[in-house]
Amino acid sequence: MTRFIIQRTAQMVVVLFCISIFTFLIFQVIPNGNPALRLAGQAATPQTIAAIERQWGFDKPIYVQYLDTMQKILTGSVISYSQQINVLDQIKRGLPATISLAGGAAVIWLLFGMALGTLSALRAGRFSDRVLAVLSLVGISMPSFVVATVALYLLAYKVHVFPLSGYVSLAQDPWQWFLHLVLPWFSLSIIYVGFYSRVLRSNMLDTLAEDYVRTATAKGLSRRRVIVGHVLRASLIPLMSLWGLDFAGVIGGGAILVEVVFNLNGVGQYAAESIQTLDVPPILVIVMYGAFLVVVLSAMIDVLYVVLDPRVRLTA
Amino acid sequence: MAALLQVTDLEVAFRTHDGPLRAVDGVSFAVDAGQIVAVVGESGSGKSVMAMTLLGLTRGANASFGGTAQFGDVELVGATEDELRAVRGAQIAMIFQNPMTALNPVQRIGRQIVEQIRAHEPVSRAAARARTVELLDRVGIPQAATRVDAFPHELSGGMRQRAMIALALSCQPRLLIADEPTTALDVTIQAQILAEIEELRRETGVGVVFITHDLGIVSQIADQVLVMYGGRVVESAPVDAMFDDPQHPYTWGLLGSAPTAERARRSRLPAIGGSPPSLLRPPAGCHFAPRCPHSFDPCGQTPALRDRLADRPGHLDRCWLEPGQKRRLREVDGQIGLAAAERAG
Repeated sequence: MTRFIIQRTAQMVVVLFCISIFTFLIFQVIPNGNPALRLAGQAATPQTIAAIERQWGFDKPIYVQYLDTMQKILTGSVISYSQQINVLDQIKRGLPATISLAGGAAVIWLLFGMALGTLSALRAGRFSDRVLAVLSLVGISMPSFVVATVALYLLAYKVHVFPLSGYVSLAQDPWQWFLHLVLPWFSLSIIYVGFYSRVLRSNMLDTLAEDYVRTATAKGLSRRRVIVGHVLRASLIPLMSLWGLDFAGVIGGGAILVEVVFNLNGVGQYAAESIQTLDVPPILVIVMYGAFLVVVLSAMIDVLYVVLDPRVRLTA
Repeated sequence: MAALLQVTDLEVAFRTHDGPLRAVDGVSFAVDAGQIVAVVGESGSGKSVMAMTLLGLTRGANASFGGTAQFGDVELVGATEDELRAVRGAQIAMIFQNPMTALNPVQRIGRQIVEQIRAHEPVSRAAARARTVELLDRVGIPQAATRVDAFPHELSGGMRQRAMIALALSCQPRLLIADEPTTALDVTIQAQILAEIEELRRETGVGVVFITHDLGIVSQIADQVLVMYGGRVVESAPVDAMFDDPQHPYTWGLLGSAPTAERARRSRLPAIGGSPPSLLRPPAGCHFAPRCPHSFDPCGQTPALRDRLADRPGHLDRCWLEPGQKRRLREVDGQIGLAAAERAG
């Protein structure tokens, strides 16, 4: 276990290093990338620009700039170019909304994916299976911002079932928190529901053909017990790793479009705004934070695998 | 006394993309309590499908069935799922071929046995567990009290098959269906497992349908033998008669291709030429005729399975040849065997 943690930590350092270098370099090579020009404003003299470059260190070699930025990120003192406020504080402000969105959506897409996938597998080849296949393809192919916009128009603007947009904190008003998140949750979930139900369907069909499932039937168990106790359990194991990684992606700021459409002011929306202004520090921090979550959650999934499947041993 | 299991004209067909596949084509036999009936035949002869059909394990949208299988008050072929569920595991238990894959890899073996006991009897978890430990001990698993919590992958193949047998015995079934239970095991383990099944039959009077392609095992434990070919029974006889005076050319081929001590010095085992028939398009008449060196005109018609020996009414076969002719034809190098088929063309 100690070995596993050490190896995974080393792996994480490598991943974060590569990702940060890559992200940092992208913003060096894109056109109009010099942040000093934007910091100086429209009618800036060359002297002002040079002064700003000196002040922010943009005149130094790239590797020095990189090291400076990384040092500031790791000490928590990094500030954004555009608003010049602490990036980590901004992210912390966005986290509750993002966590609420990701947590609720992940539960919804797992439950619905499981229900529809199981139904599909048990009715494989029949009419209901084919209908579900088409529906899940529609779900997978519909961009979340389209779903979000249509849902917003119909259920919030036309019929006032749900509030239009914004985020209300859970501590402030649980009911409003819930109402404000229902549409974002489902808009974000639909694509995953489609995807998960297809994956689970094919896992279950594979498992149904296993010898031990036949044994379970030959034991005189009810169909329901065979399915739930033997088929579903085994088929869910691979789905767990997908789930962990997708959850990490969303909580790491991956739900940009849904956050923007519903104006949730989460981490994803902060990323979107930073990209618009080519504000490198927040982008860098959010990308690294997302990568960090993916690595940590995938390590947690590996540990979970050992619990779920006794044949698996921990190796890095 | 009525037989424990009476199978009459059992038919199983599967709808496939290439047309109907008749996997089991009119099989009849009976099993008495305490009797071991061996079913032998090549791969694809329909033995496993026949066995699984008895427990309703071949049911599906593409399967159709005919005939009957009377087990006590229950007719297994037409039984509802609920009726079958009450029989499965409790009265008819099955041991599968591959103990590596037949147990759920993510559940402890004790739990898998307890699950069956509790599906059929209103006993507490603790009582079921205590009985499981007893069963494991009885089938020869050392340290049963700790092994009960082992996962299948923590046991050897032989131990896993013993666990499978313990599972099969857990509700004291009246009939045991063993589908090649020793094929995946070492010879020494094989012998132990066979001894185990023998002992059970003696102690509990359980009836056994034993599917195998190993004639050595048949001669060792069977009372009655059923030879299957292309979905049909081609010969059915008490075990001694089957080995001493086999009536069907396919049986001669099987006996002739079994390794024996005398034959071990010869370089090559004789094999039956050709391959088993396609069950999608079986040959008209006798299914074995295309591979049979002794086939003649009548073989285009299917011979009935009946007794053709005046002195042995229990010895049935499906072959048009006269018994006297058969005794001459099956002599190959002083032993029972099938002459090499003449090359066509």
